[in-house]
Amino acid sequence: MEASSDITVLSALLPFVAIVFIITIGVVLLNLQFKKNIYKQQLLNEELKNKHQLDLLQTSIAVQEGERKRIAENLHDELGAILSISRMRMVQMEGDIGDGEHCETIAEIRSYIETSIASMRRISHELIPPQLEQFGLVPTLESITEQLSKTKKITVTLSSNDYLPELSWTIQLGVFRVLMEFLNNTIKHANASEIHIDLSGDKNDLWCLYRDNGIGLPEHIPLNGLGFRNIEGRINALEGQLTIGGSKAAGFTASIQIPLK
Amino acid sequence: MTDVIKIGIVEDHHLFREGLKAILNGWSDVEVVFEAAEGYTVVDSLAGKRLNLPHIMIVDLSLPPNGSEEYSGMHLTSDILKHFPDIKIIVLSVHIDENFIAQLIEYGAHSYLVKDCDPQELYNAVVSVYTKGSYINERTLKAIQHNLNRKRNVRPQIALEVTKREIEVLQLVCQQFTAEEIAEKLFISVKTVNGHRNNLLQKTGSRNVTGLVIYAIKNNIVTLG
Repeated sequence: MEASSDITVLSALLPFVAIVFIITIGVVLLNLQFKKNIYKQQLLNEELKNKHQLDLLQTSIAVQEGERKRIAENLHDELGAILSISRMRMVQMEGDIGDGEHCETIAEIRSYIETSIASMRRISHELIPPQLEQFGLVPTLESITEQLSKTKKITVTLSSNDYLPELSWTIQLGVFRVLMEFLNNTIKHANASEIHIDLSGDKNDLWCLYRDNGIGLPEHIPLNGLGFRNIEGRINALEGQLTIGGSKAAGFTASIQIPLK
Repeated sequence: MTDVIKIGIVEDHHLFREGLKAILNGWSDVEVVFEAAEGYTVVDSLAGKRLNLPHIMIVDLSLPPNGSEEYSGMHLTSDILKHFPDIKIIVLSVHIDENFIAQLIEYGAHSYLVKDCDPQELYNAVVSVYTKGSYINERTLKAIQHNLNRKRNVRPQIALEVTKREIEVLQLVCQQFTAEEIAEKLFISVKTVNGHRNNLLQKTGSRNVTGLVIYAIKNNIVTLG
C-alpha cells in the first residue's frame, strides 16, 4: 500500500520534473541565443563604427586635398599671371629708360617680382604639384627624384612596372603624399646618400617599396610623430598595409600594399 | 620686314591679356587681331573671320572649362591645328615643368614660353615662328630631350635584382674574358664565376651568353665603345 502510493506520487511528480527540466533547458538556450544576438549586434556596431571612422578619415583627407588644390591653382594661375605680366612690363620699361633716372630702383623692383614668382611656384608645388593630375604618379615622381638627384647630395632612383595598373586619383595622391613624407624624413634625418623607390602592381594590388641607405629608424624615437601619423592615416584611408623595417646597417625600408578593388 | 604679323591671344586673365596686348602692339610689325578669354569658343570665332586670320596664336595653358568639360590650352592647340593648319601656336604659360613643355610640343605647339620670360624673347619667338615656323629655347629643348631619354629608359625591367658582383661578372663576360680569367681578376674561384653566370642567365631570362650581352647593352651595364 505504502509502496504503491509512493509510486503514484512519483509518477505524479515525474511530468513536473520533466517540465521543469525542459523549461530550464529552454531558458538556458534562450539566454545563450540572447547573448549571441547581443554579441552579434556589438560586432555589427563595431563594424559600423569602423566604417564610419574610415568614412570620416577619407572625407577629411578629400576636403583637405580639395582645398590644397584650389589654393595651389589660384596661386599658380592667377597670381602667377599677374606677377609675370608685371615683370614683363618692368623689363620693357628698363629697356625704354636705359641708363636713365630710377633705372636701379626699377631693376630692384623687378628682382622682387622675380623672387615673388619663384616663391609662388614653390608654394604651389608644395601644396600639390601641377603635373600630378595631368601626368599621374610616375612622371611626377620622376620629376621630383630627378630634381633631388640634381642636388648631388642624394641619389634617388625610381623603378616601376612598364604597365602599372590604372590608379584612381585618390590612390595616386595618397601614395604620392606618403612617399613625399618618406623622402622628407630620409633627407632630414637619415643621413643617407641613396634612396630607391619601386612601384609595381597587378590588377588587385599596388606595391610600393621604399628604401634608403641611411641610419635607419633610431630606436629611441617612437613611431608616433605627426609625420608618421599622417602616413598611417593616408594608408588607412586607402585600406592599405604598411610595413616598416630597417636597421643601422641596412637603412630604412618601408613596403606599402594598396588594394585596387 | 614690311609684313605685319597678326596675332591672336587666348588668355583668361584680363590683366595679363591687357598687358600682353600693350607689349605686342608696342612693336610696329606686330598687331593683335584676335582675343578670347576662353578656349572652347576659339575655333568657331576663328572660322567666322576667315579673311583676317591671325598668323600666330598665343595660347595660355590653364583655360576655363567648357561647362564641366576640361578645355585647356592643350585641347585648344590640337583643335586649332586640326582646323587651321596654317596658324602657328606659341604656348605662353606659368607652368615650368618639363612634362608640360614636352607634351605641348608633342601636341604640335611651335613654341613654348613661360609667362615670366623677357619681352624681347617673346618678340624673338613671334618673329622666328612667323618666318621659320618654330622657336625652341634651351628650356624647351631640354624638356624634349629629357622626355625622349625617359621614354627610352622605361623599357628594361629588372625582374630580379642583379647583384653588384653579378654585374661585375657580366661586364667582364661582355669584354670576352673566359671564366678562368674572370676568376683570376676578381680573386674568386672558377666555380663561383660559373655560379654567377648561371644566376645571371636565370635572372635575366637569357638562354645563352648572347642573351646576357643583349641584356647588358639594354640596361646600360656595358656601352659599345
